[in-house]
Amino acid sequence: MSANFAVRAIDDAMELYRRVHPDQVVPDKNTGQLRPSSAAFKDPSMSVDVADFMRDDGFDWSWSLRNYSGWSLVGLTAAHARAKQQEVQHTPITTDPTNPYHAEVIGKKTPGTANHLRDSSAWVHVEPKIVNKI
Amino acid sequence: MAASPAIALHYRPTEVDVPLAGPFGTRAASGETLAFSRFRSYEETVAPEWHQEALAKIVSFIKRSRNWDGYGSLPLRHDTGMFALQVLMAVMQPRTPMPSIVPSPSGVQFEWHEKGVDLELHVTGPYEWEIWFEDHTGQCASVSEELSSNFASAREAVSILTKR
Repeated sequence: MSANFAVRAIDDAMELYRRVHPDQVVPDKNTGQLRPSSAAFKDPSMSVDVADFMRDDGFDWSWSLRNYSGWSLVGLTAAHARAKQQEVQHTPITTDPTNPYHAEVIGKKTPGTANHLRDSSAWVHVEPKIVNKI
Repeated sequence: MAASPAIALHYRPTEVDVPLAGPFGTRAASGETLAFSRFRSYEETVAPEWHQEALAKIVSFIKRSRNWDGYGSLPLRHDTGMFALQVLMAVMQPRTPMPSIVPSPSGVQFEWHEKGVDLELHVTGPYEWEIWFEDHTGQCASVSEELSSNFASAREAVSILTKR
């Protein structure tokens, strides 16, 4: 059985959440901080959750990590993706497990594009266990 | 008496039993010994520590299940992983720091973020890889290239990082 979700427009200012696998969090010795690897931004159809849609329904960032213990989360705006000729489309997942907030950042991800997306993103949540490793 | 397999596995030579001497590769004269530190240096040249670590990581990426990242990505392809190892062996120098080895949806990435440099080598298939190099000190030009069988730009970038 599949659910029905209306497809909505994603404004430039809207925030997109992208989960980051623990292996894709790397030390940056230039800054002394952890950074998401650009490898997390290489998918030509990069899945994200639209934070603004989640907030409309009363959910915060933890909704995106509800089944992903140990993962980290970054946020970036749709405008930052579009600045690199990426399409940002709301593509809700209607089959189980459903995700009404799912969207995709669509387009070829050159190293320059992936690094632009990475540079434009900010940590929403960094898994504390990983922080202890640096 | 021959060592048991378990002992052989964990055996590390000591300074007492290294019957080598002279420049690396030359045969030791009878009774000569090579300083242990020098032997270790030779050993590291033959089988550097990073090689085992890189191999273990890449094999673990190959063995991953589908959807390892929660976004439907497939495990690393065997041929891509083996070529990635070749890339690393071709560019690493004795004093090159160990890179972070990171899985991507389409392959594996080696990356260094240190000494004022951001350097990434993303391998997506045999002879399909790309380099991203940025020098924050401004001494070297940025590089972003798709690569195949030409290792020169990657070797040069790693060399810059290593010498700093």
